[in-house]
Amino acid sequence: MLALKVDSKQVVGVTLGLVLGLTLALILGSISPAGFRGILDSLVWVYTNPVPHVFTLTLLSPIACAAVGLTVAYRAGFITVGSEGQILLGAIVTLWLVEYSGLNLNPQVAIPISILLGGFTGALLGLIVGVLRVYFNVNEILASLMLNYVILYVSNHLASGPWRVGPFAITRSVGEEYRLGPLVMVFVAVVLAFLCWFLLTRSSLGLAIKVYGRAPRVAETYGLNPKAIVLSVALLSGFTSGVGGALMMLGFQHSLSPMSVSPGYGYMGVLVSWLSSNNPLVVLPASWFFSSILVLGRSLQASGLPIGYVLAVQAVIVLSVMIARRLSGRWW
Amino acid sequence: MVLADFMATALIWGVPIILAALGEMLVERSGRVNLGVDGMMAFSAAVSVAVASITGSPIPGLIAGGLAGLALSTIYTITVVGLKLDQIVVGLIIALTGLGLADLVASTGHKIGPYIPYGSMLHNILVAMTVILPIALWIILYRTPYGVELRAIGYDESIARERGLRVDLVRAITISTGGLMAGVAGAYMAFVLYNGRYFSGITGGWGWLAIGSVILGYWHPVGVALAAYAVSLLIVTRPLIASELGLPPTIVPITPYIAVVIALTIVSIVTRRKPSLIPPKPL
Repeated sequence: MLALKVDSKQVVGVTLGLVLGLTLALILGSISPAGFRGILDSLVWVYTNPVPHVFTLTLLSPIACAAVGLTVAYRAGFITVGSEGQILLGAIVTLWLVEYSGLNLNPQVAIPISILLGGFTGALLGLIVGVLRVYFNVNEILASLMLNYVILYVSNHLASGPWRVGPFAITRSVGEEYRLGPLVMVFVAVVLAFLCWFLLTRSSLGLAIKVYGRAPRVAETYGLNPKAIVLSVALLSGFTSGVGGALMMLGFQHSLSPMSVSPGYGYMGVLVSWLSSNNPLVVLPASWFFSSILVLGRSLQASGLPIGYVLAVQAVIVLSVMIARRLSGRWW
Repeated sequence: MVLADFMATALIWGVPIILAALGEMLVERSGRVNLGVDGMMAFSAAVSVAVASITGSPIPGLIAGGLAGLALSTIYTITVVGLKLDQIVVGLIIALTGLGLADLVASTGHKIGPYIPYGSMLHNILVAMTVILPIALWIILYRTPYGVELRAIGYDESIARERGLRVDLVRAITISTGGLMAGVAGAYMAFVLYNGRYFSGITGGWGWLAIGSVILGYWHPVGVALAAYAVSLLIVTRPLIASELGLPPTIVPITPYIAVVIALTIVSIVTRRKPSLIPPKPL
């Protein structure tokens, strides 16, 4: 699962998995009011029309930012799913900085600061999970999931209480001058992807991460510090997700309102990371693909397709690819 | 409300967490962890409401709900036990798929159906299960050869295989049972707690609280049921806790999640000093 090599069997497996996954997606979608025809038309529209490509690029960056950090964490065997909460927290602090802090910063200062602030608060949230795992042996999957729900309800609390404006439970909107276009957002995601790739392939920490992830005992025997490794990947994955959250707020979310379920970009990041076999560079096309599915799902919301369909389809695709990859070694 | 009222309410609200946690306990006792509990609960809630709304009775809905959970857990059995895919990845995939499929089922329009009223025969049976099941499972796990086989597989898979124990069969059974129980739990949430309605995000992460309860109860049937009950007690006393601490009511929903993280930390510290308490090794 952690290998970087590409061979023909893998390619066949991935292709078959994608075909199987998309077929299942069409079948599943056909039970909704949008119907088989609606999903098929929308699928063609998403890839042939220029308009949806802009949406795809806009929604891509939080998914990609979360996923690139997760690839590093997963290679170290730190299975966090906290990216969902970290993205939301990054978005919350960004909204605070530009609208509620009262600082009235110049956009050229506010945008980089909010991206860094989002990253640092995300990293802090990641660090909590890392500390619980390293010093208290608490399972990081459960701890990070619980924190996702905590951040979700904190966000709902802010939107319905302290930050509420007007008669509806919604916060102030990010000012026009602070908003980001898709190209800047994609640029940040690409930079993060290359940094993570560089870290994994060209640095001693990257080597330590890979060794520890594959064989923790061997790593300890050779004098690597497992606590430092886990804490650093917890910080890093939290940082990239937090940056994704800042981009989400400045790029397209713009405000907060109460939600019954999280927006899902962090969970999509988890899926993307698995789909790309934890390779930070493969994450970029994979996030583009998942973002296009999200655009497809959103375009059909008015026709009655629930937005939960998007995550279900993405999860089904990842599972199909995993099954196809596993069977490709056996059957052909 | 006085304390006794809270205790009784917590039992009624705790049924889904207790059932799902007991099912997951069996899975983890056999050496696997199915993180898909929340998704199985949501999917079964949607399916059970749809079936009940079509048939006009909650009983077929309850059965369909159990089978819906079983169906999702079968994906887990095939991919994890059969194809040896990563159990964590598959579990999370099932969790996400279940939530999405649930919304998809509800989008067909069958979102409201008959409900199971408090104190009805069916409701009493379901509540009684939370008391009977822990004891029954305790007897099965600790006093029958099947239980010994199950626990042996959870402690050391390779030795169990060497000794000729039916590792894959036992795991298929526990995973299916876990799916069935998560399914009934989800159906209960829709039929009893939310008056026969399904809505997006119905489980509110209770499946994850159930998985947390398994560790808090230290994989013992009675302990798991008590831990799940304690979590439920925390959920029903949230408003009281908030007003005592002077917190605004909108921040209250975070309490069970923070409490479970703290409790997991405490359990981990306490049990680390006692090498005699060896948990199975699923996570």
